[in-house]
Amino acid sequence: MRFRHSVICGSAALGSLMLCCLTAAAQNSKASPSLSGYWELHFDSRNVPPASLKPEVAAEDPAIQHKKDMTELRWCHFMGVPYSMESTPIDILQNQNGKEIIITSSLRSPARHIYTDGRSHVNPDVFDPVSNGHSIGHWEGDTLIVDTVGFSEEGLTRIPGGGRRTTTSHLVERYRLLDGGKLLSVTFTWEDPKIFARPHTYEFRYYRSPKGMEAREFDCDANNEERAQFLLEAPGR
Amino acid sequence: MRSLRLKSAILAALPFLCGIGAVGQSTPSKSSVPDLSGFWERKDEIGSGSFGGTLERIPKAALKPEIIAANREAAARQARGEVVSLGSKWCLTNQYPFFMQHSAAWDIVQTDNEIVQVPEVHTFPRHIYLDGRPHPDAAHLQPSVNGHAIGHWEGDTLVVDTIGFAGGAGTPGGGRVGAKTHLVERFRLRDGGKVLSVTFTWEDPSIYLSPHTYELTYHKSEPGTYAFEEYCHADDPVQGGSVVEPPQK
Repeated sequence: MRFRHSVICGSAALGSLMLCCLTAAAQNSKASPSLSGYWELHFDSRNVPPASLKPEVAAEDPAIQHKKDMTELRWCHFMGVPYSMESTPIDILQNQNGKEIIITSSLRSPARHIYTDGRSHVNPDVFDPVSNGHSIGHWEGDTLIVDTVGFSEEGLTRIPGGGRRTTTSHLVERYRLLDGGKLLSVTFTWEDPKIFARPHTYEFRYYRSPKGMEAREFDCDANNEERAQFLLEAPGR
Repeated sequence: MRSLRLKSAILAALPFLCGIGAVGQSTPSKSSVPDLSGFWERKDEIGSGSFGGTLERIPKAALKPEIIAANREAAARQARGEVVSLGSKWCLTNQYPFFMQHSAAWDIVQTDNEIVQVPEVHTFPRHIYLDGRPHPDAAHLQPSVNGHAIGHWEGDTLVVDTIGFAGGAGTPGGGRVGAKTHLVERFRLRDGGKVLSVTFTWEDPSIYLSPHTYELTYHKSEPGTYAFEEYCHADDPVQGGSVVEPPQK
């Protein structure tokens, strides 16, 4: 009888534990809005103020950044964040188990993985910086907060409004549906003691693509001499 | 006493049942289909010593005589030291099904309407549409490295139908992928979700005498696994020198 009682009590405890786990999962994902789908930038999507740059960054010769960008493009390097978020359309998939969100684009560039399973950032001592960085997310009400560190300087590093991505950049994004889910507001806030005098924030509003939208593949061929010549001789802005 | 035990059992089960119900009510997805999501990786299950060794065990494709002749000619050219592919030198995009036989893990993200396979190797994510859309007609089909993939569930099996490949890739077993190739895959979980079985069936009357079918299995990666970016820099002298073109005559 004591054994049975223990089994029953154990079952109660297990049931309560599972309730906690399931409730947490529900709070994190199941009850959260679905951002899944294809999203496009339109002519009125960008609200980008000028960044407040550190004086030494503001004084840099823009031709140097331009040359780096063209070289990265010429060799088909991964473009990374933030450029991939300016690709249109982007496809957001919110995994049905609530543990991960991915964002893909038409570029030959890796998808963004946003881990929403409660993990922390990977220890920087063992993490190799990458063009998309390491992203973890959580929900605050109807807003998805994404925190990204671990960036490399690979790809197109120019940040809208000024400045560039470096290995010390920290990005916080806030994703929120507007207008009954027809619009997706993403607020980007960059911090980097090497680049910005104060945090640089801007907003993109993506329009939900019509049903039936499909991913594209914009391939890149580093062996195309004509393309290479065009990019490397392109005038700077 | 019996009644007390019954009540206790109901009380014990209640939180669990409520928990399931709470999730079920707010879950936007079809909970009835298996959850394929997560990182998957190949392992050498047969002790062949390498991933190439495991692929060697795959049955040979029944190829048309002209394809066999073309394969032999390419092998002979390679044996003579000629370059038959500059893919690694120029970091060209890996075409499907390359990442499915690579050692690097790949990630599945799953929703009701779409599944995306996200590889680490330098290629595009593969989008599989589950919303009932058909393939585009031939006039509107854009060839792509992953092709156009649509899927549906047959019980616990995800069946994926793909056409529209750009062409030029190879398959295990000596097959090829052409612009008219048709692929049917069956994804099914095994061993309580620890293993994912994918059966590939390739058809193309210009390449195969009969459908070329084989199975690859993938093991679920540890929780906490995260994606790498497997970059390839053609401007890196080491990478660029991975294929040395012989002097041209």
